[in-house]
Amino acid sequence: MDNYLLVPRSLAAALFDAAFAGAAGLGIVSLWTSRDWEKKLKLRRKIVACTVAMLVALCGLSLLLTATMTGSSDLSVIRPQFTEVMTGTHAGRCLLCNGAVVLVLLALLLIRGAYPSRIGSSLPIILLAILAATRAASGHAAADGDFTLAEFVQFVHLIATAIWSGSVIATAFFVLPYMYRAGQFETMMEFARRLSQVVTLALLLVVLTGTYNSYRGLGASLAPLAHSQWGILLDIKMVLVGLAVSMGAYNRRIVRTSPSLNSPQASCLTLVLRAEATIMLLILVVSAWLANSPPANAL
Amino acid sequence: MSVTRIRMLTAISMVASLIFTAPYAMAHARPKVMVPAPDSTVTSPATISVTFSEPVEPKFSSLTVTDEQGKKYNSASSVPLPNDPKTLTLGLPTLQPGGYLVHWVSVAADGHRMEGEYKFLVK
Repeated sequence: MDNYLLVPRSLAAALFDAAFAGAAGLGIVSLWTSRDWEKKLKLRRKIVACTVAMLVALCGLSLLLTATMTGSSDLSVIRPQFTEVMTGTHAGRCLLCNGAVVLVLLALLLIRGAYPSRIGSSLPIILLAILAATRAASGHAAADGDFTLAEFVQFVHLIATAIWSGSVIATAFFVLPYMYRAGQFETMMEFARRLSQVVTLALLLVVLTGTYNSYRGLGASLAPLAHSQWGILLDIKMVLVGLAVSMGAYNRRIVRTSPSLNSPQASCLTLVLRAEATIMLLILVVSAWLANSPPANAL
Repeated sequence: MSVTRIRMLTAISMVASLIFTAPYAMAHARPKVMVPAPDSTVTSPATISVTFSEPVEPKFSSLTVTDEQGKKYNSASSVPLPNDPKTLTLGLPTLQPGGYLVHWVSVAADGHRMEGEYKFLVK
């Protein structure tokens, strides 16, 4: 098995997933902010940075895919096989498609000079959906072929995860701290309420689709949760998801029970959301590790 | 999120786990049917075949036969069966009595690679 490539593949996949979630989250956040705040928060620049990070991750994933398929980390072996892997295999073609979509997204962001949500078309959303679809088609869900229930569930899982983690990460790191420093507690409250609504819906989809994926990976048995590497990673992921949900529930209680935010509440909200966002990043890393490890039912 | 909602989500996820009982494969192709079978004793086979748990990338998946000293016996490369992307076959010359190892490499649709070997005896 390609064990020596597991760590770099997982890290490159985590970088892509985090950047994808970041782009989706920043896109959602830009829908909730005024033009004035958009400029202050430099949202477009951050979406461009996420898109560039996706491109870098894809370059790494392409090289690592070739190394995995050829079973060699020697560049003199990888180089002549690179074109064959990228054009002649299912996983390679999916990565090429991802790269093309990311380039179009980047060109759109740079050339049109506008935020995705304000471009006046749904093209960026379609592009992000295509990215999720091709990612779903290049992972474990592709085992039974394309256009299957497993791939569709994984597609929904990736979209829901990107919305959940992306909107929390974007809000926690790029929006609320600035609003808190500016003393805009009312705007913060409005923002947190919107976030809470979107996250609740996304979380429902994440739980449903995640349960299906876990069931497939565990081979319809709970025993691998304690006796396989994949199962133990899944345990860690579930604990992290539980922590993130608990923090989200705590913040939701503040938002729902208080008519307005005072300074200590706003500080607490920002702090808890930052902790939740940090856990989200860890969840993305563990998820990438899971996606690159042999599931319990494959051993 | 209220406790009631969390309970509701938990209940939905448990129900979902009972509903989703479709057959499954996961993109790490492992051998399911091997001819000759592992540890079997056979007359010299004209071909060997391995059927994996899921389709494999034929260009990067392979079968190789060696004796116990590591001498390779197949001159041709393994090929997929027509209309069966899960099965690789390999033509062999006449083998002398003794033990042989089949070394298999599988690359699944998502690019994940597995490899291993098993033994059979020629009488």
